[in-house]
Amino acid sequence: MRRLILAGMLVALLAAPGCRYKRKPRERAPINDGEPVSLLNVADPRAEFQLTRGFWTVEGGAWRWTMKNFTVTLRPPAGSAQKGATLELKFNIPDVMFNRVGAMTLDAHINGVDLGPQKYPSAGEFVYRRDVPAAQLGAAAVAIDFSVDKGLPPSHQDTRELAVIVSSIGLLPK
Amino acid sequence: MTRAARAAYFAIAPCVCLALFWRVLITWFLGDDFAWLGKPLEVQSWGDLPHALFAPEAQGTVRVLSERAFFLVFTPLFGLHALPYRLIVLATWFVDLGLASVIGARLAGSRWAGLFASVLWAASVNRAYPLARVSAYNEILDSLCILLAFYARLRWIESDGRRWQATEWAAYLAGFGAKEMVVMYPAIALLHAILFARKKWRGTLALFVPAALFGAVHYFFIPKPASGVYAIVWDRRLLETFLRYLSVSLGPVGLGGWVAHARRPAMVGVGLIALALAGFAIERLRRREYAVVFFIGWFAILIAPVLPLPNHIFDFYATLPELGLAWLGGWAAAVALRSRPVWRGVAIFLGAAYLAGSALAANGATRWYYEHSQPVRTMVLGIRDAAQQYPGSAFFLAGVDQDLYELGIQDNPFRLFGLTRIYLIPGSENTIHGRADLGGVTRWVSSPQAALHAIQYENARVFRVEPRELLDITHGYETVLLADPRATRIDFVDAGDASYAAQLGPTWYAAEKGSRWMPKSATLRMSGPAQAGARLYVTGYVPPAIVAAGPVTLTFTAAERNIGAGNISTDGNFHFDFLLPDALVGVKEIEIGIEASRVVRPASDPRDFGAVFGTFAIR
Repeated sequence: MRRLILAGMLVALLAAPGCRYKRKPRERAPINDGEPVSLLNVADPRAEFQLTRGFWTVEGGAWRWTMKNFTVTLRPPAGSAQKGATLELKFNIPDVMFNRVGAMTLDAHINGVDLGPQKYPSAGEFVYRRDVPAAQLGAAAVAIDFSVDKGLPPSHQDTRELAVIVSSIGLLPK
Repeated sequence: MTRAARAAYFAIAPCVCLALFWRVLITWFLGDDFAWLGKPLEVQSWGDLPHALFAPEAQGTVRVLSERAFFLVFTPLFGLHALPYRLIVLATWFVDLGLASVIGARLAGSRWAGLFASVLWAASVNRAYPLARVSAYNEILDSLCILLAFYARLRWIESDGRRWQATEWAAYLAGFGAKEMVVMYPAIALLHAILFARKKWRGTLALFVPAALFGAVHYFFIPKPASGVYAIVWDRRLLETFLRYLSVSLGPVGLGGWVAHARRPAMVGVGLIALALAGFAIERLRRREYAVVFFIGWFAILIAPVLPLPNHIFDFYATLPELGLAWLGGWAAAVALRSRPVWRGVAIFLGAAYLAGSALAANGATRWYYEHSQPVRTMVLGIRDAAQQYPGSAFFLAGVDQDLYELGIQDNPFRLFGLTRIYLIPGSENTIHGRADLGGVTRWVSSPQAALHAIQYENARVFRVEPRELLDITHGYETVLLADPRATRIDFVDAGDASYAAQLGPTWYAAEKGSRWMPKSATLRMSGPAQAGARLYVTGYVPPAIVAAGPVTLTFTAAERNIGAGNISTDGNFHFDFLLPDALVGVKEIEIGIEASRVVRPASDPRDFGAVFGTFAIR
C-alpha cells in the first residue's frame, strides 16, 4: 500500500507546475527613452502619459473608451515642420453606441486650427485621417483635441461618459 | 517511528507547501503590508507604545501579537527586506502543519490520516494569500494558537498533566492577540469534550470567560461600521456565505480564474470530493465514530464569525476552519487505501485531482502575487533612491493602473521614507478608484499646471513604473505638458514661494517665511480666466503697524481695469475675491495690479511696507 500511496503522491506532485522547470525565452526590452512618440497604441502603458485627457482605462488589452472630448499629445514626425504630416485616428463605433445615438461626427483641432469634421453614418471600424499643415507642427510636441458630437452620458449601468473606442492615434510623415 | 521517519513524517506537508507556494519566497510586499510596515513610525517615545499596541484600528481589531508587536519588532530589524518576514510566516505555518498532523492522527486514530490531512491542508490554494501577504500573518498565528491550545488539551485529557493544561491556557490567551476567531475555541473544546471526554466538559466552561469578556469589550467599546464591506448583516445571505466558504474549503473551485477552461472540471471535481466526504461521513456515523462530527463541527464553528460579513468574503478566512474538512479527507483517504481496490482507486483519483487542481491554482495565485509585487518593489524602492538623489523634490508617477494603485500606493509606502510629495501624473487619477476610508485618490492628485511648475522650478522628477525599472521620463513629460494649455496657464501664484518669483513684478520684496511684502504698489502676471464668471481669490496678512493709524484699502486691477478693493481695519489674515471681467476670458496673460492706500516706513528700515501677500488664484 505504501508504494501505492507514494505513487499517487508522486503523480500529484509532478502535476504541480512548481515542479516543472521551463526556461522562458528572454524578452528583449523595446527601446523606449520616455520621450513622446508620433504614433501610439492607446493600450501601450509607455504611451499613457501622452493621453492627456478624456481616455478611460485599457480594455481587452487593446483599446480604450473615450469621452466626447479627448486630447492626445504627439511628437511631430521628423521633417513634418517642413512637409506637414497626416493625422490618423483608428477607432470603432460599436453597435451598442450607434443603436442609441445614431450617426456620429468626429472633429479634431491642433492649436485651435480645425482639421475638418467627418460624419460616420454606421457602426464599425473607422480611420479618421487628415492632413496637418506644417505650420502647426513646429513644436517638440503638439496637443490634438478631438471632439465627438454624441455619446452616452454617465448612467447607473456605467458611470462614465462614453463616446468612441480608440485603438491608435498617430502623426504619420508625408 | 524512528527519528528519521518522524522527521520525514513532519517534513512531507511543508515540502508540499514549498513545492506549490515557493514563489512567496521571492514575492515582495503588497497592499496593506505597507500600512503595518509603517507601524513603528507611530512610536516616537515609550509613551506612544500603549496606543500603538492597543488602540483599535482596521475595523476595530486589536491584534497585539500578530500585527502590532510583529511589525513593531520586525520592521526595525528587517526593514523592507521581504524574505525574513516570509521565513517567519512559513516557519509558523510549518508548525501549524505539524500540529495538524498529530491532532488529526489522534482524533482519527491513524498516523496516515494525520499525514494526509496536513498535506491536503498545505496544498489548499487558500493559503496563497496569508503566505504572500505579511499583513495576513494573523491567520497563520491564530491557527498556531488554537491548534497548540487544542493539542495541549488532548494531551491534558490523556495525562491529566497540569503542564498541558497551562499550555492550553497560555496558547488560548495568546490567541486573543492574534485574531478574534479565538473566541470560538471554547466551543471547539466543549464539542470535543461532549463527544470524547464527557468527564472533562465542565473544564471547558472556564474557557468561555475570556471569550465572553473579549466579546463584551468588542461589543460595547469598539465601534462597528454600520455600512461598507465590514458591516455586519444578518439575513439569508448567511447560508450563501456558508456555502461559499464550504465550496472553497473542499477544493480549488476557483481554478477557472487561473487556468483556461478549468472552471467546469474544477466544479465537478469539488462536487465529487463533497460527495465522497459525505458518503464517508455517513458511513462513519453508522459505525458511531464521532470524530466525523467533530471535524465537521470544527469547520462550522470556526467559520461562523465571518458568516455575517457577506460583503467581505475572502477565501483565506477559511484557513483554519477548512482544517476540519482536511482532517475528514485525510481520514477518508487513510481508510480507503486500506480497503477494497475500488475505494483505493477512488481515493487516489480524488486525492490526485485535488492536489493537481490545487497546484495549478496555487501556481496561478502565487504567480499573480509575485508578478504584481515586482512593479510595486520597483516603484517604492526606486522612489526611495530617487529621493536621496533629488532631496526635497516632488515625484510624479506614470504607468499606474488600478492594481498598482491598490497594491503599491493606496497604503502609502512612501511615508516609510518621510516622503509626502508623491503624485500621479495629472489626469491618470480618472481611471483609478481609491478606497474612501483611505482618503480616496485625491491625496495623490495634482494639476498639469502644478506639475509643470514643479518640474521647471523645483526639480521635480517624473517616473514611469515598469516591472523592473523606474524610468525617468521627466523631459518627455515636460514636453507633453508644454503642449497642454492647462499646464501653461498661470491660475495660481504663491507670492511667498520663491519658485513663483518669475510671475511677480519688480517692486516686490524678497519672500520671507512663506509670504512676501509689497511696497505701495505691486504687480503680478497670470493667465486670463478660462471661463466667464471666474474670480480672483487673494490671501494675505496685515501686521498691527499697518493699521495702527487707521484702516488701509487695497485696490486691485486686472489688465488695468478696476476689479474691486478691500478695506482692512484690523490686523491679521485677510482674504478677498473679485469677479474678473468676461472680456479677459482666454487672454493669454493679464497683469494684476495692487495699490495700498497707505504704507509704513519703520525707523530701522528705509523701505515702504504696504501689505503681506500669500496666494493669488483664479478659478
